[in-house]
Amino acid sequence: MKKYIIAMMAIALFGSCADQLDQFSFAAISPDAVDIRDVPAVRNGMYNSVQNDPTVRSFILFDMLGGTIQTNSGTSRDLINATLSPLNATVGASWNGYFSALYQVNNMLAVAERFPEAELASLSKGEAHYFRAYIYFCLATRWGDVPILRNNTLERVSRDPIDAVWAFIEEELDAAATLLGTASSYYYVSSDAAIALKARVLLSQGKNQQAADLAERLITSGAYRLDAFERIFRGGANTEIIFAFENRTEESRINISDLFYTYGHPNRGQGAYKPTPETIALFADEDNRKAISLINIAGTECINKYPSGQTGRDPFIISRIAEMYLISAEAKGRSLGVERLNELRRFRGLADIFPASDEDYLTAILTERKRELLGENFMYHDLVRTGRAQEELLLLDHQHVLPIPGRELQLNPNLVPNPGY
Amino acid sequence: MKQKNKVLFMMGKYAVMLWLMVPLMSFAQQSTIIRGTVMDNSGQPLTGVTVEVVDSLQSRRFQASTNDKGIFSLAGLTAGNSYHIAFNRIGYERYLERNFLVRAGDNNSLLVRMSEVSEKVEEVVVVGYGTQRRALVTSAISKMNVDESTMRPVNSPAQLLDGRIAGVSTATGSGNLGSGERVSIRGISSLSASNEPLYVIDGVPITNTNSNLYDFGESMSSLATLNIADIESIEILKDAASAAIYGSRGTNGVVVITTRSGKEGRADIRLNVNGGMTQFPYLNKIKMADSELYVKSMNEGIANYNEQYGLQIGNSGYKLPISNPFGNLPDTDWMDVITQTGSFFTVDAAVSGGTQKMKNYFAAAYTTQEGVIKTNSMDKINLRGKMSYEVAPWLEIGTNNSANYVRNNQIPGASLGTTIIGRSIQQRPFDRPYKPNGDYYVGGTNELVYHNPMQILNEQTVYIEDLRYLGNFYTTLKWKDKLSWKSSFNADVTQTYDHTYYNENHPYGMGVGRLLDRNRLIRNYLFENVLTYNDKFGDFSLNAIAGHSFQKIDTRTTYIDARGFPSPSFVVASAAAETISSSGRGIYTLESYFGRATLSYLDRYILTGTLRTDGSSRFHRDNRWGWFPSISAGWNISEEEFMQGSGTDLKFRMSYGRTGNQDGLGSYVYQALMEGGYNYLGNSGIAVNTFGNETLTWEKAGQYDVGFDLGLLNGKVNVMVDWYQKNTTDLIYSMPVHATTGVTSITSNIGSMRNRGAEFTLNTHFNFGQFQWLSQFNIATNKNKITSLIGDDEPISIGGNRALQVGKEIGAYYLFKMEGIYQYDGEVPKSQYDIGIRAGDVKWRDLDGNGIINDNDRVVMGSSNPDFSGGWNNTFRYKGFSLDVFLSYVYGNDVFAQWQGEVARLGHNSAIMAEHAENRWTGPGSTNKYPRALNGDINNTRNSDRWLEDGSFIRLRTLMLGYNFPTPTLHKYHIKGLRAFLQADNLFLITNYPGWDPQVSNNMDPRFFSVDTFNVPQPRTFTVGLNANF
Repeated sequence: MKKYIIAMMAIALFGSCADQLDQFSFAAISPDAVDIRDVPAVRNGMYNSVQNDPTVRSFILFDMLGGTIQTNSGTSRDLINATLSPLNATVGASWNGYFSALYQVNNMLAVAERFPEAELASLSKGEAHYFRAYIYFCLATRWGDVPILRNNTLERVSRDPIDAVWAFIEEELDAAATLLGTASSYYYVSSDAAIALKARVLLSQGKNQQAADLAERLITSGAYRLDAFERIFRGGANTEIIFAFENRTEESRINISDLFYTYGHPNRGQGAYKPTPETIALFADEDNRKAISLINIAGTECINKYPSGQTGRDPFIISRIAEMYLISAEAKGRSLGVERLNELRRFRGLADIFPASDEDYLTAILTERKRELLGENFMYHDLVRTGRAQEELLLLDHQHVLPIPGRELQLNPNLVPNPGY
Repeated sequence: MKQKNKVLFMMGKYAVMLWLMVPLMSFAQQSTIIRGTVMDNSGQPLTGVTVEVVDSLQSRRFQASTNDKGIFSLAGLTAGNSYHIAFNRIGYERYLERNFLVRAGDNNSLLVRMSEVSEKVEEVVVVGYGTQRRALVTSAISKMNVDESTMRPVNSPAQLLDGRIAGVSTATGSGNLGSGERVSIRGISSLSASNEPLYVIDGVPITNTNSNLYDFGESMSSLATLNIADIESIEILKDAASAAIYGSRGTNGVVVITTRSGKEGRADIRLNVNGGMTQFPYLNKIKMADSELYVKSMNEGIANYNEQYGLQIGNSGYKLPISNPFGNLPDTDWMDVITQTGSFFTVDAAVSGGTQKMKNYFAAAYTTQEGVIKTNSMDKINLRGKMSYEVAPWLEIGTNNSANYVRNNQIPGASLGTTIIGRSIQQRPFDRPYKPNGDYYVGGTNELVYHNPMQILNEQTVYIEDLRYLGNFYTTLKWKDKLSWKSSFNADVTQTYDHTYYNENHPYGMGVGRLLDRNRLIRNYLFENVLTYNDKFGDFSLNAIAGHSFQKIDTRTTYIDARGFPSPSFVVASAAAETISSSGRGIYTLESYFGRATLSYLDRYILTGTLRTDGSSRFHRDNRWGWFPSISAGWNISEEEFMQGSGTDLKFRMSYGRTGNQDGLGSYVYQALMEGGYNYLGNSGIAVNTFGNETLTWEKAGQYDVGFDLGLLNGKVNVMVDWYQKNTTDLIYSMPVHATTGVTSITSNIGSMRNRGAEFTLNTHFNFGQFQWLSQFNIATNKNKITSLIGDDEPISIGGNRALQVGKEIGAYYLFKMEGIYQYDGEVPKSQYDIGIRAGDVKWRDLDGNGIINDNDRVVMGSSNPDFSGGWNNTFRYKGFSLDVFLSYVYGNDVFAQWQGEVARLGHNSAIMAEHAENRWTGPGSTNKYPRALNGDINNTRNSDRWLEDGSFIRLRTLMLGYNFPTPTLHKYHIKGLRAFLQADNLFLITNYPGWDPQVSNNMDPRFFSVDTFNVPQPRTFTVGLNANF
């Protein structure tokens, strides 16, 4: 009885309280509320997520594991040993980040399917296929067998064999190339970006002839030309870049420069990693890449490709034409490919070389890749795919793939750990 | 339904009593009358005294009450018989006239004097939405009076509670001014939701959010804005029966703070002045290696490395030995560089007074403080005005307003990259802060390993400014002292401004200057209506309340990140070259209905029931409303006839109640959100950032409490004992999920846990002539246990060094276990040898026996929860002098001294502790505890039991000597009272803990509590002060 009286009194006092208990976010909508007008926003969200979610070290992980950089207190070998642990924060954050980005990509595809007539729907779909391929390339080259998720799922998934993953990546890139055309800027995905990534994917699988064909297609298309590092890595207009994430300061959490510069640099950086002495020695004085690749800050040589330090962010290049030169040179083999290699070397201020054996030629290619692509996330995979990792990095057998993060293994018993970890 | 039944039940009782009175009247004619007068001790007649006679032979009862002249007459007694006549009146000691012989005729008269009950029994306790006499309290409520004897020089009322109340433990993040605190009442009852109690100040449930808007390495207390001198008492509602009236926010207990008010018929002026100094205690306790030892062990580490990998001079990867670049210059005492002797000064004044119709209280306080680390300082101003006015006998209006201002000049906390002690003590001993030309050595380069601490402190301007209004306006309608209706509007409005400015010379200044300029406005409004009903039905008294409240908390934020200033003199964002800004808003609402009824029979048997229902905007419509009932019963055994006059007070209590918990959750936590701000190339983007969970609902806790209160020797010895068990179910937990889902956690109701414990408090009060001794001892134990979790019993790793596991405590550590040092290379398993482990390295327990040491080899061990804790206060008074000695203690907790791992890395280019360097392994048999020096070691400083330390301690919390000047002398100067005192806080600490202070932590979440990463310890404080009353 009392309760009813109170309730009546309360109603008399302020009838509208109950409505006040439904509160909704001021900064978000429900995913169910996405409508046709939201497609462009979902697309931007996808770009942002693929750019940011994997976290910063994912973008230099193959340098951290590739023997080209080291920490202040240990050697590159120490860095590799410290990183290759199921407990390692970078390994865990990379795994989580790629799958988090994949979620947004799959969501983009679902939204684009739902509103096929929407503005940008087909473009967004093409871009999503490209990103899916890019994410799976990153996953496969790190962990080997990984679960293929064509749709988002809460299931405890199992790992798919690496061959299936490669096939899926190629399929996605073909889908992307069909849906995409040229892009308004190299900060957006184009069909050329899909071709460039496919060339890399094919090379990784040892499908050299096809890799060389695709690389040549881009080199000879006339759309891209080798350009100076001063323009490529200092935000200038250039003819090199095929696709890059812009990493605008206010949109990005990927601050690579901070990890390379020290507090001695005017732009400041925490200086977590520096090039090894062997890496520094790779750069001859006449090499016109040297000044942009390395900088001496208060007595310490630092990587100089990302100039913002703590004052901002720098673009991260996914594909540029120089990589196509190197893919073509490597895939075509010594006699046919050496000209492409020397073309690149000449442009960078170095003399021609003519290695005597295939073995020497591969060494020359890998050395050139170290010079050209330092700090661009290539080296570990290059050494693993060419079988040079054991010898050059002193890797143990199991260290040719990354450990599945311990947390993930605990939460998903269907995942088989990589042996040795 | 429940309410309705209660009403019916009471109506029934009333009817029974009426029926009982009928025979009384019919016997009245044929007998004798007793007449008498009842007076109080001062000779004033007492009205309303119940006079009662029980004729046990004929099982009849006679009753009367005194009129306004104190006169009563009791008829119907049989002449020639002897009766026990009992006199009862609320607020007075029960008086019993034994064996009164009734003579024939009407000359039977009695004169009775009743004395007011002594203060202890009359003690009034603030309960939710009202007050209660202690005698009627049937739940576990502890009270702390804040007075001259219990006052300490702290910033937050929570810190006053340290060691004072059984079952209440406190800790601070650090000894920095205004550092955040943790108050734990009866253990831990939540995982992801809040574990902090609800704070209610003068009836207003306040918001208690971190004052830091930019995480400056530790959380900051929002309670530090309050004026401690204004506080009259702090009540802790510990069990569910007392806290259930706060329903969904009661699980972690409730801290009810009552501020001072004007008293009727008095005019007081209070003036307190005090000041003093603070010190970094035990500054030299952690002994670091000097340059010689450092260089020696470093070079040994380098030599070991070269030898291990077979490297010769000229080889790639060969490491060169180091030398002291400053030759024979003396080492830098890095701790001396950053510490200082702090100081403080406080003045507070209050004017209060009252008449029957109007009462008021005005107070003002000013505090200025400097901390023990250079540049840490705080200023605080508090104003309060409180007034109540009885417009008519049936109408009272009133208001209570406080305005508070704090400015806290912060220094970096222990989890920031510029953590101030870490950036000092960890510097190599030969390094120095300034170059000969006065420039800074720049950290993070070859010339200095870590950020230069003086550059950190000098080139930053970092402060928080809090402006907080806390108050209410109310109207009370009264009807005959029985029924009242209070309608109030309450507000807790806080404007926080967080200014973090790194000028161009600061390591984080980006070379151009950076300002993080953040504003937050929290408006917490509460509209409340409470009906109170008090009545007596014969021997039964009833106290009931019923109410409704609606609370809305609206938070707005504006964040600006500005970079690029012309010079350090430009400190606003508009002067910056580049700005990035964002703003946010969130609303949380709570609607509640609540009621409580306390029924007592002659103060002997007491039954209390409460019921509350809360609807929260944090949950989906279908799961929004929660019901939180409680029931408690008390038996004042000493009120029974057979205990009369024994000088013993005994009350037995038991209670059960259910409470909820929802704090610490996001405002829209149940909703799946596609959030904005995921932009690309300057175009706005949206992305799914949470899956939501529509089934999410309250955490629920059911708590049993059994206790008794015992007073012996007429109140000279008082004991309070409680046992409890609290079961929390539907724990809200950001359940970790496999990352292939796209997220790493989903907030869910999952798992349950149990807290069991006991509390014991002993108060004694003895007078030996002029000499008085008062003591209060308390001890409490609590055992926490996770009873179910995600579904399996494997440990779930959380953070870097903790795990949750069924059957273990929240706060258990998950660490590698050291099994000694490998003495010979041959002992090292091959897979470990391959990655560079050799003789002299730590041998870890290989739990799964696979030869590899990885996260599966960690062991759940220890806990940050103590076995028992409490405090012991002794007050000695002799004439005008008083001496207070207050000890607080904790026993059986483990502290993870993470800092040790940082200063035990022999062969790493940062400072090392002398202990580790001196005792290092140098060859087989040299030690089984301290590993060798090795440059580039990845094995020996794992998060392990090497750094797990016993955190037990006894602290001399306060030592205070006071002197009250004799009153006659003071009266000449129109001073009512004057007291001078000297106080030392934290004078000593007895502990095995190797760091400075085991009672600080870089994380206040109980899951991650008690991790020391070179947190600034609680300072040692010396105070001189005067308290005057006019």
